[in-house]
Amino acid sequence: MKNKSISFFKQFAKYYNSLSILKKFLIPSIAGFMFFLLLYIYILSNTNYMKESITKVNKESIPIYETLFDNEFLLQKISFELNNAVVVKELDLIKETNIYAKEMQKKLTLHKDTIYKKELDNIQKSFNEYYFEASNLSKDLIESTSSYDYIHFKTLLVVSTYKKVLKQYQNLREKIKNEIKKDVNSIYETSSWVLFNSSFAFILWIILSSLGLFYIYKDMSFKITQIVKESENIAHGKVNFHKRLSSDSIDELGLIVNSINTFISKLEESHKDLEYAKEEIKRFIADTVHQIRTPLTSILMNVEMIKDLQENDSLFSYIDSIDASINMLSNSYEDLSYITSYDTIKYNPTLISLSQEIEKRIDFFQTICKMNLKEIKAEIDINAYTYINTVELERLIDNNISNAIKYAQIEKPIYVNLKKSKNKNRIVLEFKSYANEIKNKNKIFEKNYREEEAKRGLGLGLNIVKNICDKYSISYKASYKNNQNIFTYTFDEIKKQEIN
Amino acid sequence: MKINLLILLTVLITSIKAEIIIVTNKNSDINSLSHEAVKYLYLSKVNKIDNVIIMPLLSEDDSLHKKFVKEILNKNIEQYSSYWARLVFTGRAAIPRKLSKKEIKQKLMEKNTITYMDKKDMNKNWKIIYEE
Repeated sequence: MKNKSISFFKQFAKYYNSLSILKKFLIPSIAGFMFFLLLYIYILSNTNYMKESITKVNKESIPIYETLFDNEFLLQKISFELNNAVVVKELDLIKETNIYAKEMQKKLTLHKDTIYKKELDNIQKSFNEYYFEASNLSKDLIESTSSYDYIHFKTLLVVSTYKKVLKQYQNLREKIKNEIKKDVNSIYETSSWVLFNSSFAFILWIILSSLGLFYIYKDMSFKITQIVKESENIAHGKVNFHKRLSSDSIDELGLIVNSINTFISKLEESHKDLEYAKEEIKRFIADTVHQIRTPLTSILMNVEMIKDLQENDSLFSYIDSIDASINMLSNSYEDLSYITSYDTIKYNPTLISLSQEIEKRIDFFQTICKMNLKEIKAEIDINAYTYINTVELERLIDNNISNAIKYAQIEKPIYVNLKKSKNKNRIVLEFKSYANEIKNKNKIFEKNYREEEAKRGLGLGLNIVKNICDKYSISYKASYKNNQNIFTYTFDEIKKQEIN
Repeated sequence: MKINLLILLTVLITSIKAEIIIVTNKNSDINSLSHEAVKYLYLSKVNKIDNVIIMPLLSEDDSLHKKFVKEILNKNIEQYSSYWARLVFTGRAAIPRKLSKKEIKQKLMEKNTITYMDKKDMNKNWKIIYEE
């Protein structure tokens, strides 16, 4: 029995899951319709029963009841007329009572096809007996020739038959009255029962259909929430490729879930391809960087040697130009080198003098500035120490200076200021350059964002800076003041005594 | 002849002046009845007086019966007959049987049985419960 029930519920769940949303929502209505159809049949059968009872009362019981009253009246009339005949000693009056007797019999015959046939037959028989005896007695009394004993016995017979007829009338009347009472009670009980059952059925239907609709709503709501959540994850790039949306149903939502799962599968394939491509590019860049390193170092060394070996200044401008270009190339090379290695190589922080490192990098960019007709003016507080990796600090400084050189106006100074705040243990590093205002200061640190498409670059520099700032909790900001773009970085200062 | 005529007249006068009484067994529970009670019992309107069921008897002595009907029931014989016919045809009561003197004597041996008779027929076993 239990297994059958489980099997039934499984079959129903399977059927439910195979339905469309519309059909699912129609289940309670259809179930309700079937339920009320059965209730309607039940009410109809009971109504028919009540109708039959009413018909029986109206067409049988009440007319017979009325007939009995009429016949009793006729019986009284007959007895009255017979008495009159005796009083006035008229035999003809006895004959006149025949009309009433026939009327009585006719009325009784009319109802012979009812359930009271037996009783009516008995009444008719008893009445005939009475009428016969009473008529004879009337004649005897009128003629008064018979012996008195004989009359006495005849009167006894008449009285007993009269009483018998009356008793039968009374009994049948009582029986019919009880039948009517029973039928009326039955109608009342049936109608009350129908009313009670209908009310109960209505309440039951309300509860069951509400529960059904609530279940369907929860089921839909769960699936929609799942779809929305997964769609949001996809939209935010947080999709879990190892997980698929579960759906047992094949309704519209099930189809959407399947589509999303297919989409996730395709996305996973694309993601794999992209990851593979990314790895390939990364490997390619790493290889390229590796391949560039040796010739670049060689070029730098050779340029230095050429500089040293020059006997006059005639080639200096060319050599400076080569030097500047190589330095810019070196800067880009270092960016690429950092990007390809930061997730594989651990860049550990060390205590670094920001003051010394900035001066060193400004010195590195002197030739580039000269070739770009620009000049760096630095105001650097000494002994500003912080914990940071050297390579990463170099990337931070180099990218800001190279950007300033690239975008700043010609023959206008580029300011590099390093200030220690006195009370807050903070070091503020600023890069200021006269240039057009940065249009989107929030996006400037995003990857591949370029302010001017005409000035091509890798679009990686400030994003590298941002990642380094995030790693060391260095606050960063881009602003514009007095026709200058200002990039401000705030470091935690490490005091000298803390070092010791 | 004159003597005979005188005797006949005496008998006639005596019979005319016959006094009707209502009697019962001397052991009966009833000691006296009113005129109305006698009428009601003989017209079958009641059969009980003071919770005692009483059975009235009729005499087949036609002259006594007529006299009783006339003097006690205050009806003529036709009225009496039609009254009983009505009771019979409406099933209320049958006309009582009329009894001979012997039968009456027999019946009066039962308690609470009453009958009408000429006072001169009274004997010691009975008691008068009504007389005019």
